[in-house]
Amino acid sequence: MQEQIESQLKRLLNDHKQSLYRICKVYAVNPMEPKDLFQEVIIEIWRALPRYKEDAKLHTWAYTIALRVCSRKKAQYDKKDNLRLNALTVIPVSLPQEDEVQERTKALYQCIGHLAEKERQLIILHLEGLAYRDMASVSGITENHVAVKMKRIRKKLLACLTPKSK
Amino acid sequence: MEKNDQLWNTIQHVWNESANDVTLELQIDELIQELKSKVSPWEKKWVKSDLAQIKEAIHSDKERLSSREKRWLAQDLQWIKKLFEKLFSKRNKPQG
Repeated sequence: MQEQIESQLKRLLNDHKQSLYRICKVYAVNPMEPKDLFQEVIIEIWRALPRYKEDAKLHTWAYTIALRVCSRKKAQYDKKDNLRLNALTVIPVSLPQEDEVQERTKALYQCIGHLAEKERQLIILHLEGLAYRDMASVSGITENHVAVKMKRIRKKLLACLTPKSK
Repeated sequence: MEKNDQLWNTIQHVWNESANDVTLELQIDELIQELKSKVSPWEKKWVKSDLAQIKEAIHSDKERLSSREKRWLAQDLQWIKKLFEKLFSKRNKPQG
């Protein structure tokens, strides 16, 4: 049992650590670093692995855990947000020059961040290459409903990313 | 439509590349050791509290249970205890 759990974790992290990290990046809001969330996700996956039933693919199951952990952490952070002092702003002395790739990435993450929680989870699973069938099984809605929602989400995301012409 | 598809491909590409700004170095064997040492006490506490709840439930239902049921439950509890000791005392033994 223990050996099986260890080998599942090894396989998962070898093949999907970048995907799990990308999920963490979407939810990391300053001062939460993606690395902090990534650690939480690994610990939660380790705790939950004895209960993994193999009715979903291992990585699909792990993505849903990552989404749950990150979403919970962000909600906790947002609650604390009431205590933030808006009058205080910390401005870096010199802003690093961002290249085009960084700007595109930032814009994509911002637009994903603007989506509603359920929409955000679906688009992340879609971008990670999950089929509508798998997305339906982990999100508890039908495959047809996923297709309808995805059409709407894609439209929103494209609108957010496309500069509006005057 | 074609323009949207093109844009969508770009989005997918940007997403795929978006974790490439960091290198995720994981010493997997060390990580597992660390997880064992950090997570086990939590599991232990959790299993212990489960055991305490079972005991409490048995105690509160004592009058309702037949002597045979009591004996079975006592045997089950013994078995859980043994399994618990086997799992956790083995896992927490110092390495090397």
